[in-house]
Amino acid sequence: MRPTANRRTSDLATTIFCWTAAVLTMLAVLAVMGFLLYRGAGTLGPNLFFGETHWWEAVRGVRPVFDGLWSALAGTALLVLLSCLLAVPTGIAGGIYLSEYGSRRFRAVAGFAVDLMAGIPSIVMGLFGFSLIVVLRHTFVPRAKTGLLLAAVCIALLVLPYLVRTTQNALAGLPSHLRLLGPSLGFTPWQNIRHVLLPSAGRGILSGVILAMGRAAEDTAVILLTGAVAQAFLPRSLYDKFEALPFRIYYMAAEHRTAAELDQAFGTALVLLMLTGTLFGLAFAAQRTMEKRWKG
Amino acid sequence: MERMKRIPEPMLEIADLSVRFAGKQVLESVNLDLYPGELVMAIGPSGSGKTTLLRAVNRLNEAYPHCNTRGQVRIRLADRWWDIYAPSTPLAELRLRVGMVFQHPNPLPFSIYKNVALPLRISLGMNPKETLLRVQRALEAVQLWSEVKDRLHDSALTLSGGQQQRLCLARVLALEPALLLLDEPTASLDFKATRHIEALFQTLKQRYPILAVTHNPGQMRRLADRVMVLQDGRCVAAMSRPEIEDPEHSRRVMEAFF
Repeated sequence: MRPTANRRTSDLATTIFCWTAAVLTMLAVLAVMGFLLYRGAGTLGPNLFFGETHWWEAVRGVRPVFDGLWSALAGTALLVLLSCLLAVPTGIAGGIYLSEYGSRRFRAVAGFAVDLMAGIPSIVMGLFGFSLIVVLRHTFVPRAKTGLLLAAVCIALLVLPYLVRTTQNALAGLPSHLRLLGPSLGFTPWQNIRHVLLPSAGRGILSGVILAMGRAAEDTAVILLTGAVAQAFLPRSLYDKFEALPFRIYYMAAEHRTAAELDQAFGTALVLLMLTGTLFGLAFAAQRTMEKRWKG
Repeated sequence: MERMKRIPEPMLEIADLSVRFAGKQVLESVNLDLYPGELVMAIGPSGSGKTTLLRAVNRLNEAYPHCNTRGQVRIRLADRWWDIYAPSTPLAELRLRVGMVFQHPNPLPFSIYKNVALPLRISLGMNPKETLLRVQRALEAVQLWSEVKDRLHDSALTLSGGQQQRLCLARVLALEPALLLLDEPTASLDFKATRHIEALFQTLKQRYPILAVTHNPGQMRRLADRVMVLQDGRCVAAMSRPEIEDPEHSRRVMEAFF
């Protein structure tokens, strides 16, 4: 009798604990969103984005935007796009290699390196980018300076381990009957990966891409040292300085003098959330389209 | 003797085949010839090396680490003998000619049509028109066409287990293999689906020599032209059709090794 009662109690306790954890997570998300909306929603409007500048002139970049977040929004969007362009193909390819081609030994060594890289604090990555420019200045490229491209490279390095690991795990988690199927139908290893394994692991890989995008959009420490500035202009080239949303939120919150200015920071945070939300939506839609084509 | 007159050469020759995984002997000195028009079954308890024997024929064992294969496996394609393990043998092309049906139905998470069409397009480089014809022929051969012709673009995962296994068979037949390997293809199916698939194998063996494995003596009695009994990786007994049909004899053999 006793053991059964014990088991039932522990079962119940676990259920309650898990349920509470799930509810708390949801509450935390709702609280953050709610607070941001409460403080920031009032500031949302063309003024928050473009200040006194006409929107069309701001979007074309012909006129600076002095008290709007437009240049920061454009800077962050460019940064995310550029760093994902660098990191997503590389990361997925790295994950494929580790899961499908690498020997056991290599997998262990490279896997350790990837984990190590995932553990690097972003400020260290920023410092790395900064020192890289210093070294370049004293050697091959005397005119090198921090800017969008350098920041994108450093952010790409920062998110690369997530992409490698999620791709590797999504592929390694596929059942062995799926893995043997392609070869049994005369597929070469690459054909098997391309036509059988990758489509089957698509959703897992997507979660890595989303994680990487979110990380790229929110990181402040890296861009602080590699080219983000408070400025009213759009970057004119890949080597130009840029403004970014998280950086703007940081200095607005740090240097606000009135409550209205702080509310602007909350509004900016809301815009950052919406931007990442839109990017997630785009990634999701892209994956769904590919899946549809694959399944056809 | 009669067979020798009718069919002079086997399609598949397995000679002194031994397979080890990480030093563990899984198959030891197995010999087998497979002739056109016959269905040979390897029977044995779990872990006797049945699946390894099949996978030695299309070299799928090598998908697992630390696999070591010795001995010879030869296949006759268009009157030419190919040593399956020779470095010069094109592996992907060879696997195309050796169709394999797995123990559990394993359709790809794609549409019914694409399950059969994809290998045609990828492995044979066929154009869409030819592919459509081939897919229909293959689905007809497994008596699935009438059941799915109106929903070819539905997911293959919506089919029942028996239908899925017939789809997998169609996928293999569409590639026009030279022989078939069946790895307990009815192990996860119910009675009715099993009988349906078994009937298909009876007709298919006229066109494709079949090497199958099973652990089901009933299925062996219904289907096999010849039987090899495997135990701990060795061939411990063999039976011909008259011996399989003799209930007393086959019972004695089964009892001795199971």
